[in-house]
Amino acid sequence: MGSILGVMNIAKSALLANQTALQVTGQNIANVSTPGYSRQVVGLEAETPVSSRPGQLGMGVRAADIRRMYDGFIENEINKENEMLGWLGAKAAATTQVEQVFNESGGSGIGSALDGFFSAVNDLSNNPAGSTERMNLTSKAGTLCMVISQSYSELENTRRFSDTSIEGAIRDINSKASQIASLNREIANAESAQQSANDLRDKRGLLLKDLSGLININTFNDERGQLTVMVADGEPLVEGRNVKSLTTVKGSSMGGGFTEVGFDYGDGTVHDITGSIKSGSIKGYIDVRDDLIPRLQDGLDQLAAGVTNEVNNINQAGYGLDASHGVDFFEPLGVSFVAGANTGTGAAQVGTIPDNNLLSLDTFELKFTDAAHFDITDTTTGTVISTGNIYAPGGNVMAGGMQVAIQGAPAAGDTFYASAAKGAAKYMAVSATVQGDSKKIAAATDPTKLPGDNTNALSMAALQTSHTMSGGSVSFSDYYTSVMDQAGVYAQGASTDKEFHQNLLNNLENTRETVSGVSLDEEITNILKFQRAYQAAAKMITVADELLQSVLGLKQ
Amino acid sequence: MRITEGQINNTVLDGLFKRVDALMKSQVAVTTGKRINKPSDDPIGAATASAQKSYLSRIDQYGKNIDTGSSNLKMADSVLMDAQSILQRAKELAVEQATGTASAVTRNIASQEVGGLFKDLLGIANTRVNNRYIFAGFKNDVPPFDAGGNYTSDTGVIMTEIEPNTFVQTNLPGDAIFSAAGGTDVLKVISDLSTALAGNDVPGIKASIDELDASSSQIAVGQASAGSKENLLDTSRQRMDDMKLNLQALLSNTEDVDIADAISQLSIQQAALSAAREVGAKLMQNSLLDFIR
Repeated sequence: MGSILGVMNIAKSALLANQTALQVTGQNIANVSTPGYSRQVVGLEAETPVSSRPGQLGMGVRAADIRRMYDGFIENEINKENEMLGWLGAKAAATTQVEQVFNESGGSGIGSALDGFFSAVNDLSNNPAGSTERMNLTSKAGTLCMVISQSYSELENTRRFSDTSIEGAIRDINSKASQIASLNREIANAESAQQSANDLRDKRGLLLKDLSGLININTFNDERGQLTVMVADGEPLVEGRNVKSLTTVKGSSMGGGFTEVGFDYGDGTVHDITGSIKSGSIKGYIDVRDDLIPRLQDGLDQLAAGVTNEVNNINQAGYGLDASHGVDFFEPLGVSFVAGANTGTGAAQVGTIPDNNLLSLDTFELKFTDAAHFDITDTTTGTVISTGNIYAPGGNVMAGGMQVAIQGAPAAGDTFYASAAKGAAKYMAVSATVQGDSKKIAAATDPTKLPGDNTNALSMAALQTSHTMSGGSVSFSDYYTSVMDQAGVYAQGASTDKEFHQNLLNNLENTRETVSGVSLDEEITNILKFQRAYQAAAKMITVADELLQSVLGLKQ
Repeated sequence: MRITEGQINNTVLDGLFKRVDALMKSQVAVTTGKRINKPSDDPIGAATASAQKSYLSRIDQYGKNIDTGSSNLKMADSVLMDAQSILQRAKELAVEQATGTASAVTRNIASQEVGGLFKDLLGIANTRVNNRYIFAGFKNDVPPFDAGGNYTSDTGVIMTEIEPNTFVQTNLPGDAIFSAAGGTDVLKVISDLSTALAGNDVPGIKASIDELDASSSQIAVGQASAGSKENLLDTSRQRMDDMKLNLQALLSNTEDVDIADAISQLSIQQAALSAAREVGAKLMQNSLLDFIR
């Protein structure tokens, strides 16, 4: 049996439910532009009916819950894609800077400087006695040295910038991690009271997305709705309310004290995770800093060392205008002889180059098989030079034309590296002798045929096209072109990949929008719907009131 | 499918960004005139352009080398012509003074003139271009012939690279032209004539006539040698000029934009951008709110 009061109660429930629905609609409209916001829907359901005659009677409506329209799978995909985009975006941005170093279109790059140098050598061969030609050659050689060493230090600067960016990213990651942890706490508190913490979850979702742009993450929810965030190779950055942090470790392995990324367990242990970071912008910076730039710098070192050594060899063999002989044109190469990450006490002594003509520009590794024996390998070509050499402390060892010596007691597995090319680009300079007196440039091969003998200058000029680099397969300018090409291909790849992933992310974002995005048209329709429903419910109250009036009026 | 304002916004923005990006690239191409402005624009093209530029710079250098060699050889050619006239004059004098009509007095006067001719010829043999003696060997900073007409320089051959791996001799060591190394010691022939004239030595004068003929042909050989080298240089210069034109065309193909094409691209992209803006504006304006009171 129905009752007038029952009618009134139903109408009241409708008023309240629609009021709630209108409020949620209002919230949706208010947040139409809020990043990361997921639209909310009121779950309206009929109140539990009561049994009566003639049948069960409805008891009105209630707003059962407020749900957040959300697809965890898509959010996850977005985060994964965002990791890729962060990585490639950072890589593309840093590579653009690197590329500028190899920009030949203005005619002021290393390629032009090389051509200029050899042009001046040719001019000298036309007039070996000319002081103008000699001065010009010295100045062109100086330009070549300057352009190469400046390019090298610009690359070094870009490495430093990347380093700073990595430190910035680490700070950013830590701040986001602690915000996620405190949101975890708030969400757990709210949801323990059977409330769905929609807006807090959205906020946390957004933080997570930002975090994924910085470093690769893996997440899962515990039963209380708290998120565990693992970074890199499963390091637990956030676990519920607990947060750990990333920290910087000044590395020595990369040579030059660059920042490595450490995971701080909070108990004094720090684990270097640089190598296990797979994506995110931090990976982009690491790639450019530790992969691309060192390769390019090695290339410049090889080029500088090649030019220095070949030109020096020829200049030493010839005679200057003042019959000087055996003079270095460029400052001679030095040996970089360093120890690897060793356990023994063996120390690398200074290395020397006894004969330029026998020098190899490759890197040679001395590896101890036990405390008394070592093998020598050319790591550039991978060729084993000799095995089972007997170690004598301080004894001279020849490797690729370099004479090196080790002191102390190396342990098995210890390594030492010798290279004549390392640092050649950075320190490339015209020798003080030639700089001070251009007569020392050796254009002649015979001191009795001065000053017209230009045969040595011709040999020097021939270096321009002779295949002296990469094991005698390419010329200087071809070699330089291949270094430049590496930068170009890398930059092109990074920007193409970035565009590809940007498109993927856009698609995913659109898919997310279909589920979670607020449509104003929809909300306006909803307003009308809930408003009409509210008006109708109010009308019902009026009707019920009139009914009551009628009943009460019966007595009069 | 729910389409939300966010999606429309993103799509419109994404489209606009891409169009602006394309427009900017076209703009850079049109303003610089270059298709390749950094290596990543076209890594292979950039490498090709770099090799072509390097080759162009070498060709320019060959041009300079040819100029230097050519100026030496031209000068040699011209002064050897003068040497021929001197020999001609000496021969005239010798023939004149060998006849019976000449006397000790006329021969003495002729001897004076021949002495002058000797000095002229010595001056020619010691010709300098750009501070270098062109009839010397490597030792070309001092006169190759001393006052007595003796060759004091060496036989060094100065080579100049005029084409990739093609070398041409650009000096003419004077011993083969003016001295005995060529068969006849031209300078000595003249000084002997002068001596014979002064000494009224008729058989000596007669003997020098033949020697003067031999000298003349020896100088002619030198002229021919200079001329043929000069020809070689001219041909090379022509070839290098052609190659330069070719290479410049190739380089332009590699790194320059087709301006007509680039400008039409630019206007297409401008049109596309305005279209995208217009459509975007229309899309974003529409709302249900416009249709309900």
